[in-house]
Amino acid sequence: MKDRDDALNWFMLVLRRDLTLSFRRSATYITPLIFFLIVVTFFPLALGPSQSLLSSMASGIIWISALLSSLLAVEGIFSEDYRDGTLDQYFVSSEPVFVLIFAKVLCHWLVCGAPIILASIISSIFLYLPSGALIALIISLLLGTLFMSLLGALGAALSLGKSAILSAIIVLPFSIPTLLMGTAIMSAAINQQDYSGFLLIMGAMLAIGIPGLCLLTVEAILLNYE
Amino acid sequence: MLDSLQILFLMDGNGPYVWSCLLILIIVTGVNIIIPIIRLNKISREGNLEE
Amino acid sequence: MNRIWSGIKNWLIAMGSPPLFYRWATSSLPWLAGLAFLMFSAGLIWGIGFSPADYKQGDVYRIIYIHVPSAILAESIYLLMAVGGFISMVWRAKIAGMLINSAAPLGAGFTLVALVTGSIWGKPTWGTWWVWDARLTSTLILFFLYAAIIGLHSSIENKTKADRAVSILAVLGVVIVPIIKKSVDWWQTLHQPSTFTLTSSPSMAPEMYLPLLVCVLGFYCLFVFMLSNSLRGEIISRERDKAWVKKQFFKQ
Repeated sequence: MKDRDDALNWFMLVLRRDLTLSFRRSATYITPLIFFLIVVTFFPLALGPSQSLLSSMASGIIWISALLSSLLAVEGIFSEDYRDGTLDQYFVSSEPVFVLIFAKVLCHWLVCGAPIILASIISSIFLYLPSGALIALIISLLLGTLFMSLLGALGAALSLGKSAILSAIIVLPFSIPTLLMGTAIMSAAINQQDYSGFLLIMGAMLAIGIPGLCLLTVEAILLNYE
Repeated sequence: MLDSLQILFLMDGNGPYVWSCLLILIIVTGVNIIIPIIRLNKISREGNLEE
Repeated sequence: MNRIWSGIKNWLIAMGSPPLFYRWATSSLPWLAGLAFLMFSAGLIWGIGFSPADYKQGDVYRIIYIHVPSAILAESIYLLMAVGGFISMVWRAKIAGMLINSAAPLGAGFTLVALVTGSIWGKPTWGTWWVWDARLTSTLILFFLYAAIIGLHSSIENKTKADRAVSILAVLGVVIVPIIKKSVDWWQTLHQPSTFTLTSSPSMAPEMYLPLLVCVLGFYCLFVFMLSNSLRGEIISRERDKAWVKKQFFKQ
């Protein structure tokens, strides 16, 4: 019993610490929002402002921009803690490290997910997204960005924080199921069909992904310490 | 004999497709075989110089 | 039976040691090359030269003898890399990491051949160079996965670290690949316009099927040769300051 309490305490400690640090610097939560909006703006600029065209492509554009934004935002998740030695403390402690890593990823999702959701709501106006799909957009993006944060953390750990574009190449193919699920949810919502089945699938991916990806991320971070 | 070779080569106008596929296969396979050999030869030349 | 199993096990364990593998590869290379060349050309000549023409597609279907074995090999090589990654992660066997690094360009090459030949096959049969059908899309994604492994390995200076990083990627990849394929299949059925049908023959006459089998076997033999060739070079370049390399390789 005592062991479980300790792990939970450590989890909350890491979570609180990361949240405090993230909110101190406004850049952490503003930049994903701005990047998202810039990418979304480029599509009408490149494709023309026709409402019917943009409306038909809206869910895809918003999802792609969300993937790219959450991927790029998670790049620096380990670099500071690695440099000042906090990460070493996690490994030296007697708690399972992947729990603490998940605390970091969760914090990152809480901090960057909200701006991305906000950006997607704004984008749904820019791209004339059909109105019935807004709720589906928010729910699917909530799940999707969590999965992307997990994957992005693994990518950041594998490329040892050196190259963001390499991390993107590694991680993006693995995000294809999430992308397909998310856009399927959007199409179902636009056609006013039931999309709860897809949500369950995304939930299942998260259920496996959270422990699995965090464990692999721990392995990847350990590469830094050779 | 020459007639059947002609038929084989052209394949009713589809010849270029099939033969270009074969060419690509041979090029990719060849490159993948030759590059390790070249690397090995470079090492054996360098190694003797070091010593 | 038990003797055979323990014999195979002992051989596999012996192959895990770089100097022993190097010796085996160097001595077997001519035989492997000969066998590969024999099977490979037999299959291709039979298929392209002598099998009967398809009644729907004519002679263009002969591309199948290059396209299908390449695609099969592309997937098998990824599986092999995943096994190598697992062995490298669990048993820290150096040769497993070197195996991943040697096999990756080969796998990427076969995937590229599959993609390009598939595209060339599509032009006369479907009328277009590319179509987003489930198989071509999954093969393209597989190519990206190979590119990720090659890119990651080349970006890390310390090659032992690079091996470990790539093992993680390979193991994760093999778990995700079935999921990707399933979701791409399902994405296809979701979006496919009903008027479009693929010209694939699910049941082939034996005169067409047998050369295909020979081709697949031939490609596998070719891969074994290519991998031994490449892995041999990788071992030497990684272990070049070891004593056994100085004896066996330089003092030839």
